[in-house]
Amino acid sequence: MLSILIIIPLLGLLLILCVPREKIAAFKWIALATSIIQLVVSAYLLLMYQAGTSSLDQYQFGQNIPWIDLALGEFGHLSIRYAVGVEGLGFVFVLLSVLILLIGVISSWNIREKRKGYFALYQLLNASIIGCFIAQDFFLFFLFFEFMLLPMYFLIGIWGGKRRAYASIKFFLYTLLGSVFILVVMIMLYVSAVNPVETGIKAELIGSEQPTLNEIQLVQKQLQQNQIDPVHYVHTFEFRYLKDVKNYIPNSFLSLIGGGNLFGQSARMIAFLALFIGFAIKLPAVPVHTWLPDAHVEAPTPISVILAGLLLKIGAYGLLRVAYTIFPEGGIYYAEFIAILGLIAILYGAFNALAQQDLKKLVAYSSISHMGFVLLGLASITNEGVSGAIFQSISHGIISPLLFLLVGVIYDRTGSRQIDDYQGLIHQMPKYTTLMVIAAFASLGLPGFSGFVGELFIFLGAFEGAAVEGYFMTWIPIVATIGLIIGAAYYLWMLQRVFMGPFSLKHDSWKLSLSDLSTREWLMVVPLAILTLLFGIFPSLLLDLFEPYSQAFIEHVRTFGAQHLKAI
Amino acid sequence: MITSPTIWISVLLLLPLLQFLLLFFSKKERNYGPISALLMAALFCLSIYTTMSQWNLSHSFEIQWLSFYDRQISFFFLFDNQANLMLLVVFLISTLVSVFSTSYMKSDPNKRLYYAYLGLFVFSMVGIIFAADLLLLFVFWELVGFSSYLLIGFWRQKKSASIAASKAFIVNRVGDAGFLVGIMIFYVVFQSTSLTDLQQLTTDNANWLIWAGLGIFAGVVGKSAQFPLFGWLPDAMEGPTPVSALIHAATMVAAGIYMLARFNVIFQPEVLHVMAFTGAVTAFMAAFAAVKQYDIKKVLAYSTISQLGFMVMAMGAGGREVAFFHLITHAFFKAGLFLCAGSVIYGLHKVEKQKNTHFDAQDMRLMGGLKRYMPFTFLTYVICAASLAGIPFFSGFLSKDAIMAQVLEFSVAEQGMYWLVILLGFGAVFLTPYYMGRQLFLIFFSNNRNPAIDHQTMETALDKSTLWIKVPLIVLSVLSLFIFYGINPFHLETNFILSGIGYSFYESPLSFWAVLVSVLLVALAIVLSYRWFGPKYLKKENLIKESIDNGILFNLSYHGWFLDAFYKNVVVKLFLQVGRFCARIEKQVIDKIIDTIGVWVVVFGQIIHFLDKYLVDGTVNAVVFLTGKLGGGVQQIQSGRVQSYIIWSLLSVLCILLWMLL
Repeated sequence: MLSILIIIPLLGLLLILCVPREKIAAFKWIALATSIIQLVVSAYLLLMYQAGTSSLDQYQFGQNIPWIDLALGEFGHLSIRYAVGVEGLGFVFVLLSVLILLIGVISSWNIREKRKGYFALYQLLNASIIGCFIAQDFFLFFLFFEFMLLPMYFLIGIWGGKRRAYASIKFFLYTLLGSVFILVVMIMLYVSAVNPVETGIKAELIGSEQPTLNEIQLVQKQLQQNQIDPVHYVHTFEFRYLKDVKNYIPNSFLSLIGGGNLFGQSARMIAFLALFIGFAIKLPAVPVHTWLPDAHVEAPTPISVILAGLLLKIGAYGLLRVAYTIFPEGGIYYAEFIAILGLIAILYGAFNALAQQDLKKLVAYSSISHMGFVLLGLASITNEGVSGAIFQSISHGIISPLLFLLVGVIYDRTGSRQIDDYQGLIHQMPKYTTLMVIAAFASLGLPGFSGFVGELFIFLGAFEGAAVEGYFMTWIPIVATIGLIIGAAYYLWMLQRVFMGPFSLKHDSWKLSLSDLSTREWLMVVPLAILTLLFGIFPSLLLDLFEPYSQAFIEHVRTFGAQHLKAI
Repeated sequence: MITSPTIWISVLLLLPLLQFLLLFFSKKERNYGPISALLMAALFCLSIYTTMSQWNLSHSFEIQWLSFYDRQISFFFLFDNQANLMLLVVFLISTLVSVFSTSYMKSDPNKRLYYAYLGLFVFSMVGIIFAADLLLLFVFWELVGFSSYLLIGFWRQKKSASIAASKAFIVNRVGDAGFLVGIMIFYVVFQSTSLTDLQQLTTDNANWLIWAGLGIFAGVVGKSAQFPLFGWLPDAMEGPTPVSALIHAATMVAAGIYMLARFNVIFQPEVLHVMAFTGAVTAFMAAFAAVKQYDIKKVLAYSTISQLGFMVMAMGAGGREVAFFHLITHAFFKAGLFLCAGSVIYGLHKVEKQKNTHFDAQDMRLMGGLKRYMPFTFLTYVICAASLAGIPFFSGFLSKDAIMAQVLEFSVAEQGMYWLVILLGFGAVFLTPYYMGRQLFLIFFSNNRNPAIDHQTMETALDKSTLWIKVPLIVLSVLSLFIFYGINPFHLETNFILSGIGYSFYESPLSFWAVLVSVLLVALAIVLSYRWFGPKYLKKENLIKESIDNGILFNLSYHGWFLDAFYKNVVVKLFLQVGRFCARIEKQVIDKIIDTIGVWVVVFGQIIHFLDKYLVDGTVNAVVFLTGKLGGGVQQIQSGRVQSYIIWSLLSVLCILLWMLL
């Protein structure tokens, strides 16, 4: 069922490729159609979705079929599966993606140059983003993860602003570097872990494809006691097997007992760190964040929207789905380090935003600050904290696209995003100003908007993680509240300079082109503004979708994390 | 179960919100003042009804907001006497302010939004009144801040207004950050934020409780404009004057006091001591700053801060009930004063329009002699000012002296440095009639000092205050009399407000002394202010001289103890510097490192390219050449295709070698 969501944009891509280049009007309609169909499909999925039954292993709408299967002789077998499905976490991100991608299409309406290429790449991006959130096999995930880079690189590099070459290369190299870290861990995991079901079948311990729990446990027991011939090992990339240490080959590199050592640390810890760095670059966390402001400033508006709304979320998603789930002990062991990184990102991003002259850069740095909250919430490993981190990700996925779209509105009209070029826009564009005020206050966390809920959860969770669980020092969440003050400062200062006071522009000629929001622009921004209000007032609408997941997640990380730490 | 108080709470809360939504999305621009006034009046009547029927009954209900698997976050609403009294105040004053605004804002092009924002404000304020849960309170707490932001910056063409609005919100955020920390502690350490649970707190975790209390109090310091965060309130006077009356004098800034009264149980003695000091310092500093202001509204703003200081001081001294009582009396006379000031400003604006000139209608140096032209405003002004000054037979006397008695008792009991609290308090008691006297003299007495206008225009422009303006002034000045709070003008025993919120009366010998001292101080202050601000002071030359040739005391007062200058030149500058510093790190350190790495990667690539071209390719070419020769040699024996195989295999070997080496 979920695969349809990937197949639709791929079909759209095919269609776009078939249509001759001259029919320039057709491409955007094809893109719009695919996005709308996706929206309909995901609305259907939302109706069918059962929130209460989520656990870390119970995927819904899943599909799991063998894809690549290689016999490697004495090294056993290689098994890569096309495994897709969603639990609470992936599902909310899929919904967000479908929405933001649709809005991205509407925002792309004005793209003039090379439309065929643009929308073809857009479809590719669409498929790979959604693929990322539904893949349940590490290999498949990584494939989609890498595949995102390619369209993104070209979309920034061809349709971007003046320094687009620099920005796109920077983006590409940074993310590629992160991918290398992830790839290394992936290979380490591959040599260490096996699929107990297939291994059991090969070793003739299990008769059928649907084994009982006892049979699996028997396989795992025999595996741990070295009673299975390595010839029968079926190496796997599936997340659900990777997260269980009982599926790791004894004395293999990442096995809990007798595993490898690197730099005097257990290899599992290093693997966690490597994954952490890989996803932190995507998130992005300070100090590996500098690709973000450049990429945002150079990217065309719709791409900024997708970048902020979705791509950053893959960092958060990866941390939860991959790093924390597979190596829970790392999450506990490095909790303080991660919390401090989060704190640094919150403050550093906010201070930087304070110093920006370019509206888009301001929003970009505020993104860094807000994603710092996600790290802080994650580090706490409490229900409030993790739910808050997910909530904040979604909320930021709504608010920052809204902000970027709004900045894009005046950029479209005048070609300038400099704060000093405008003053008193409220007199010329009252509706636009209203939406900007809404977006700014939503982003600075005014109660009633989703931003408040996410940050509140994160603060509560972080303080609990600090004061009750003792994962990190209590001053960290307390100092983080300064981020709220600076957040208010840079947004209000911006509003005051750009929108209030007597009306004046850098060039008087702009006055003619600065019309208030058009119908198309309304269509893009109003749904987002409504959503952030809706989730701010009734957060359960969103929270209930993933809360069972975060509960299962916490339980997994805490129990196994503690067990593994003891074992090491 | 839905009970009638639940319905009332919803109605009282949601109708103002409806006003906001309807007006905000409405397309028609017209004067919504009467409608707004009607709605507020209806809600006021409803709250009179609830007072009658619900007095001494308390109702609470709970709405579950969301749930985690191990805990739920619910919102608790509580409808008790204290809430009821506050409702009366808020709705009465919002009714009057709407009535007043009908005339005052008549010619504003955006008055639709003005009434919309008023609705939003009343909604959030009523939320604060009912909230019996710190988290819920915080939600509305921030929302009143937001509506205050909108209203301060309402005149968007004025740059100073939008600066003041941002300043108010940001300064409040500083306090709110502390509030949030307090909520964090209560939620995590004490497992609840609701009033009912907090009332049963044991003091096992006394340390945490102190920190949490200080955090919550920080929120009050922001919202109720206490030292050191009071600088935003004088600037907030950039907003329309009716708004100043409603929000920045009577209700919102008093929300902090209301909250302290309601959540009194959570504050440990240590926190109360901090409170008493903060309040005393604020009361005195602000009263001192009010002495040398020239802006008619700024005097009142500082006076508000000072009065809020009295309330906080009383709260710290353990006088929850008297502080709340003062909140109510203050709400009426201060709203009255602001509306009087509004009436003066409104009148002068009319003069300005008639004469087609421009002058600062709020500068008291350009006033004087208005008694003759605005006798009605003068009268109401005097009544409200008398109440503020604490003159017997007025409401302010009752509440302020109750506070002083409480504080004196506190200082006597605590001894040591706590004597400072009562001293500062008496200082403020003395300064209040002093600066109010000065203001009265400056506005109403002597002759008019404004060269731009003459007697005739004043006569024609000022003598017809409309009914819309008069009614609120009458109501508020009448409410500044003692009689509404108890039949005995000197004693609190018959006071229904105090008994309604559980005040226990007891005769203390100290209270007599406190009253005596403050009455004497008030009398002295009135005499002195007549002496110093009499006819001689009121001459224009002397006023100008005062504002040029001035001493340190003048500057200290005029600039509000230079707190603003400190924030502007030190704190804000520091933050901006740090921001710029971070931006520099970003560019010159992080990006430079990345770029350098990038450059070196390219250089490395070039080197590899060079090697590839000359060394590897050279070798390959040599091999190819040799092989070619060789192949040529053996060609006769072999078929030609093998050479390519050799080259390919050699190449691949080379590649593998290269790969292993690198």
